[in-house]
Parts: sequence; structure tokens; C-alpha cells
Amino acid sequence: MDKVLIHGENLVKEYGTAIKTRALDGVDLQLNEGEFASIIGASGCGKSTLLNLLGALDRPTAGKLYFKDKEFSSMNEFELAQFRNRRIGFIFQFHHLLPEFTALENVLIPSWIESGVVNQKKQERAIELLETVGLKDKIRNPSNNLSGGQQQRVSIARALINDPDLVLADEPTGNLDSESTEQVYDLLRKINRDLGMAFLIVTHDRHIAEKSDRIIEMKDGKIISDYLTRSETPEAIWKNIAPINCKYRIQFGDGEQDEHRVCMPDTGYSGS
Amino acid sequence: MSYELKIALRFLKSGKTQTLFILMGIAVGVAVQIFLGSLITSLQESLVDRTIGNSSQITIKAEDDEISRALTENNQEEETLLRGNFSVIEKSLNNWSLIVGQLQGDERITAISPAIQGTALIRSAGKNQSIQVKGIELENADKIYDISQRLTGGEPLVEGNSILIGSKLSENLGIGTGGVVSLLTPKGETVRFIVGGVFDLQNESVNESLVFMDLKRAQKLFQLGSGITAIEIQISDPFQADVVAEEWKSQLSEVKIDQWKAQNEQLLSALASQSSSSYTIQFFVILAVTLGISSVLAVSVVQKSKEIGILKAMGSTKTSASRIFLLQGLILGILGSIVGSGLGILLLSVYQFFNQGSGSLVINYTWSGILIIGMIATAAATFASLIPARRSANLNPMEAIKNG
Repeated sequence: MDKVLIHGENLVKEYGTAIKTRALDGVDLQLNEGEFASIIGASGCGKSTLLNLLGALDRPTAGKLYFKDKEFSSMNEFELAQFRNRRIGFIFQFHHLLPEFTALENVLIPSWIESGVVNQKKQERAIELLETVGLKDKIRNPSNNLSGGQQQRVSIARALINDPDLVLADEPTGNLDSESTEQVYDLLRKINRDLGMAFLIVTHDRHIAEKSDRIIEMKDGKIISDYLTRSETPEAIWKNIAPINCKYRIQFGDGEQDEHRVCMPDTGYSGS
Repeated sequence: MSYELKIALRFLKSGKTQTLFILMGIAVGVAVQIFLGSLITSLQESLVDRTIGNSSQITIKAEDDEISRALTENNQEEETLLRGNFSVIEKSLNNWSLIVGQLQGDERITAISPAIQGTALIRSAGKNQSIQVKGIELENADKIYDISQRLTGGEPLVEGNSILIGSKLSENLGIGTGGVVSLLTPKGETVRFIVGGVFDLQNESVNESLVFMDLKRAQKLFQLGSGITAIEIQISDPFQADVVAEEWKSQLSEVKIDQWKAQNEQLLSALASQSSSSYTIQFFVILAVTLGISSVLAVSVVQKSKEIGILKAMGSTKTSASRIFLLQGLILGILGSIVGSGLGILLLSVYQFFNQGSGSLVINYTWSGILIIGMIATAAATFASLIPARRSANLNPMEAIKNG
């Protein structure tokens, strides 16, 4: 049995004071160490909210959240910040590098935050990571001098610098073209395999979802299905995830069965 | 280097124009303060110097006798008794060498000169004029009056019957160095003196009526024995005169201590109001600079909210998030003060260059004054960054990332 990394019980998150919006409505979730999971669902279904709670960026309105055996609500502001720094790696849709810094410096920033001072202790590790993401020759480049895909790869290296237990990615490929998307996905998968940290990826992209170990599907603030991909056939998975994420049609050609599935990604930005 | 400092520096560097403008704002503010402050201070110093620079700032005299007390206090009841002109030799201070000895150790004293003050009538070539006679020891009196440097003729020497007279008096009497004059004392004695030199103390009434003579000769002239009438003193900080005088009053008995501040209240109140208007201007300059920095940094927080959100997501604490902006304020303040100090000194030299010539004001600045202005500006800049820093601290990382 895999070890439980993070565990949420009956998580509820409400926004607003006068008019309350329930973004999460009683979610139970357990994530194991080293797991590669995706969350799918329509815009506004609570995917990002859940991710923020798991990443200690926000506190739940009700419910309990444990990291290993530690309960989140017992931690103060400072401890949560420290937790984010050491245990969690964040990857955002719009990469969000600091444009004032070079690629290498951006990767090093979480390590500076950890120690409080600017140092080069993790420099070698940072270069190694940049090499892993295929940017060895770009380490001195100002981060705003890189292409979108390159920037996203820098932000992946940045998420890994402090050896987190869990990488949370919110639409990591949402802003990239299909080629870069593929590269980034392969990279995430490779890192998961090589370094063994758990990944939880919010995505609209069914290609990523399809290739995850586990797919969590959400609707209206609830988890409506949660299964391991290896227990389903590819066709079943495809069928399951496609209607939600794609307005797809199947083109029949030469009497062959659905060879040419055309996916039209949901372009609306998921703001939840 | 703390990482907050590194980020603060990069933020400042990335917003070059913004940083440059706000730096110039602080620099101009500091420069104006230095210029204005130095100008006002120098003006006041020059005014005070002209008033008391060459006169006694604290004068120790013997306690008033009945007559002079009645005269000075203008006592109504005794008025009838005191009608008419009086020739006054002030009451003698017999224990003066003791007092001088007692005060000698006081480090605040820059000059101490025993003196005899009296009135007399001067006669020469049939002309009479009432004068003030001052018996002095030239070496000590020079420290106050600087007589030796201000002779227009003759030798800086008061010995025996040799006296020094004012330039205007010399003119009025038509007598110069080497001439002979007679002095008629209040006691009715007439003594002949030789004019050893003519001085110009740059004060019309002094030049017209003052005569310096040797202390010992004056003692004899006014029949004071070994006594004198006053100990004239200058101190290093003239504005402390009242404090020092009070202190001495408790130490010395049977003396009267006058100090210039009591005698120049109007001047002092004029100076005080001048200072306060200068402070008011300086305050508003600082206020304007502070508001400027505050608004620029507030805009910067909005501009950088995404980055701050990211830093927080990666584990930056509230304290760190606010420190990034406090440091920016501090850096701006320090740099602005340095540039502003240079600018202020430049401004002063330019002013000085275009206002050369005799009698024009010499503006002095002190490094300590500039340091204080710089420190105030730096403190103000840091203070100005408090509100932006708080906003940065309270920024919600999710909101910032989502909306950035």
C-alpha cells in the first residue's frame, strides 16, 4: 500500500460574505506519495480551489486537511509559508517567472526564500534541473527573453529546486501550443518517474489527463469520479473524459472506426 | 545579502524611469533643504555675529549699588532724588582675579577679559567729547574685540599713557596716531594721554565714543585700586549664554551677571520666527517627497502584485513581502539623500560664486547638518513605504496570481 501524502476530509470552501458561493462542497481526497494524478472538470467546478487548499495557499471554510500526519489548521501563517516553500512546488498556467531575474535566478528563488539569503548553495542543483528541462544553454538569459514553453520549463525547474513532496500544477500547458504541451507533459512525467515526487495537475487537456495514473473528475464543487487509469481501458477513459473537456466529433473515414477525433479544447479560462 | 534586498534592488532596477524620477524627487527635496537650511543658518549666524561677535556675551559685574539700581530699575519713589546727570563709574569688583581663576577651567569659555568701564570727557584742540573709557589687558581683550587686527593706524599697544581711539573719534577730534589728548574724569582730574593707535571696530557708535587704555592705568584713573568693573566673557556657543549665566549665578556670590540674550530679546524673537518659517518650509518639502514616494511605491505594489503573489506561493512570508518594499523606500531614501547632498552643495557653491564680493553673505554648511537632513529624508522615505509594504504583506497570493 502506498503511503498517504496528503489527505482531505469533507473540505468545504465558501467565498463571499453577503452572497456565499460554495466552490468546494464536501470533498474527500487522498493523495499518495509519488502519485501522478490529474483533476479534470468544467470551468468553475472547484478544481483550482481544491489545488489552492492542498497547496496551503488558502484555508478551507470547513473540513480537515492533513499533510502526512500534520493537520493544516494547527499551523500558523509562518508555518504554512514554510510548508509551501519546502514541501510544495507550484507550476502555474502563465508560468509566472520574475521577469527581473535570469532563468537560473528564478530557479534559485525558492532556495533563497528557504534560507532567507541569496546564496549559490543550490546553484549546481539548479543548473542540473535546467539541464533536465532542456535549458542548459539559457541559464543566464533574462527570463522574459525566453519563449512561453521555455519559461514554463524554467518554472518547472523552479518548482523542483527545494525537492518538494508534491508538485501542484494549475493548467501548466494551458498557455502553450501543442508541441510545447507535449514536451512539458513528457517532462513532468519523466520527473515524476525519476525523482519520485507526487504530481497533481489541474488540466483541461485530455492528453495529459489520459496519461495520468489517476483521474479525478469534479463537478459543482464535488468529486464525481476518481479512478486509476490502469484499471480502465483507454477507450473507456477517452470516453469518460472527452465529453467534459472537448466538444468533439468523430470523423469516420474509409469505414475505419474513430481514427480522427478532433478535439476542440475548452478555451475559456478556468477561474475557479 | 537577504533575498528581500536582492528582489528590492531588482524591482528598482527594472523600473528605471520610475526609480529615476522618485530619486530626483528626493534629491531635489534634500537639496532644497540643505540650501535653505544653510542659507537661514548662515544668515542668522552672520546677524548674531554682527551683534555679539565683537562684544561681551556674558558680563560679570559687581552687585548694583543703591544709585545704579535705582537708575536701572527706574524706581518711581526715588525718582526725585535722582534728577540730573550722573557720571558713573561702575562699582568695583575687587575679588575679580578670584572669579577669573574660578572660571578659567570652564571649557565653554573662549575669551575672558577683565575690564574697567567708565566715562570721561576727551579734549583735544579745543574740542570736547564725552567718551567711554575701557581699561583692558590687550591680549585678553583682543580675543573679544580683535583690536590688533582692526587698527587703521599706529601700534597695537596699550601701555602707560598710550591709548587707542576709534576712527570716528579720531576724525572728529582731528587727531591721529601720536597726538596728545586730555581726559577729564568724573572726579574732576585731567590727565594727558598719547594716541597710540586708531581702530575701526566696524560699528559707528563704538568708533565714535570708545577709548581703550591699559587696565592698570584705568584703575589709577578711576581710583579703583586693584579693582575692575567688569569681567567680559565670550563662550563657544553664544546661544547657551543664558544657561551658562544661570549656572554661574549659583556659583558666584555678590556679583551681577548680564548676558546678551536678555539684552537682545527682539533680535532673538525675530530669529526664532525666521527659523520656524524655515522649518515649516522644510517640513512641507519632506511631506511632499514622502507623499511622492508613497504613491510611486503604491503603484509599484500593484504592478508587482503578480510577482509578490508568486513569491508568497513559493513560501515568502508576510514580513518578507513587506520588507521588499520597505527596503525599496530605504534604498531610495539613502540614494536620494546622497545625490541630494551633492546637489545641495553644488547649489550653494553656485550661489556663492554669483554672490562674491565684500559684505556678501558667506554660506556655510556643516556635514552634521547635511547628515541630519539626509537621515530625516531616509527615514521619511522608509516611512513612506510603510503603506505600500502593508499592502504587499496583505496581498492574497491566489488573487494576485489569478488577476495579475
